[in-house]
Amino acid sequence: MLRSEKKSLFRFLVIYMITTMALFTLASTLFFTYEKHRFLDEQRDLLGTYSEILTNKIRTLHQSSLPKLVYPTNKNYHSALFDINKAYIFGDFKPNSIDFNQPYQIQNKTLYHVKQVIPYYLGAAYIVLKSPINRVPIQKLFKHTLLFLLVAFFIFLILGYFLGRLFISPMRQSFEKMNHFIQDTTHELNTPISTILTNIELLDTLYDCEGKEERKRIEIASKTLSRLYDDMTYLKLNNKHHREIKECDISQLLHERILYFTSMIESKKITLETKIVDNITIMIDQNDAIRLIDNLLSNAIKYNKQKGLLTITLDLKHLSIADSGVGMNDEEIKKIFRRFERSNKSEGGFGIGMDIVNQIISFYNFKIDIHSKESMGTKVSVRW
Amino acid sequence: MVKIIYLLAIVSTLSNASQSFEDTCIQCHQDQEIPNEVIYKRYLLKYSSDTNIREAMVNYLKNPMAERTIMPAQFITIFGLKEACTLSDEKLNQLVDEFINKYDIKRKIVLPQK
Repeated sequence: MLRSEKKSLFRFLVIYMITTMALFTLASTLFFTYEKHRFLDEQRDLLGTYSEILTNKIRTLHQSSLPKLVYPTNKNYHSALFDINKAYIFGDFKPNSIDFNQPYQIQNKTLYHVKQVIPYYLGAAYIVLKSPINRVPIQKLFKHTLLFLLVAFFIFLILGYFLGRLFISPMRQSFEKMNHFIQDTTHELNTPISTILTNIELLDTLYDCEGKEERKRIEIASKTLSRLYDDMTYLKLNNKHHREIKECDISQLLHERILYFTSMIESKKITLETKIVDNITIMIDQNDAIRLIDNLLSNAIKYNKQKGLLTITLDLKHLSIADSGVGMNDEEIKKIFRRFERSNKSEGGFGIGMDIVNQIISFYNFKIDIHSKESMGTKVSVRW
Repeated sequence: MVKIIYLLAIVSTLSNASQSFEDTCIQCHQDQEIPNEVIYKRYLLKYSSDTNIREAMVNYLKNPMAERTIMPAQFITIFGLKEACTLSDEKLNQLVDEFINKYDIKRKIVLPQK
């Protein structure tokens, strides 16, 4: 799956899951609250029934003429009797604070029921019953609700993933078509470019004919095409080509690439200054090193002024390429690594060069510094 | 010595009061076989608290009327209405308190033995 495809799918999934789960959570919360109140109502009803039974027992006690009246107790609740002035009469518990105007109230996870009694058997105008709230069914309901939400989350995640893939499949198909087209085009371009370059070299070597300037222009144009082909091939493989990472003599490679770009440098009458320490080696795949150097050099030449200055420095720790060209502002520097982004459209190109540089830098954990000033030039340093 | 005199005085007062309650109220009720506990329970059923019972009893004793009695009409038919009490308010309250204390149902209620 492509990076952009993954990004789109991820964004779709995040929005889809947030909205879906928000709705489900709201519905579940409402359901849970309703059910919780239903459980509490059931317990209230039960306490109400107990209070009726207790009232009957107290009436019997009131009518009794036995010397001792045994107060009716029950393991399911505690009770207490209060007179009309809300003074405690008797009971198997003594509540600290009770609101006699509230028939049902909850204090410290305990349900209280205040029942008014008329007539006042045993002088009791109020019967207060208390029972600990049975939280087991509520906790069970909470667990089930959570489990439901969790299951719903995974079901919708899977559903969302397939929906997302379905939605982005047209985009994927278009992208694949475009990729195939570029692949076919670049493939078809490779052979003629190679032929042109080889024959120019043969002309230069074997024949001393006129039109050297024209031949040079053809060579520059062909080399530009050749690099474009290499860059596109690199991107087409999406940075996943087989790398042969070994010690690479970067000093020698840099000299070779400078030689490769000589005709371009000369055509712009650029003064070249090099400070290259010999025999510098780093662990890198040769193709990656060529792509890195070529893109930096190509930019420095392309965006340099006529008769400008190109300074190339290489030492044990870094490679820097500085030009005296158009330069960039801070906003342009921020966008430089985006694919197909070109800060200056005065020169040709597709805006893929710095994307490739960024991919190579990230893969090898190199560091890149870009210092640029508009109309003054740009200096790019790569540290390893 | 002073303490002993005080103690004797208190005991004597209490004994006089008790005798007074028995003589003034209970003796007559017993003679007429008036059920004191039933009277108390009827007051309790209607007035709930000791304060309210005391107030109702004192009011009735001072001014006995068929409309004010706690007992059923049949009871009044059999025993008739009591004469108005001429005792002082203080004495009347004291006697009513003693009556309430004697028949207080709360004292009879106990928790079941475990």
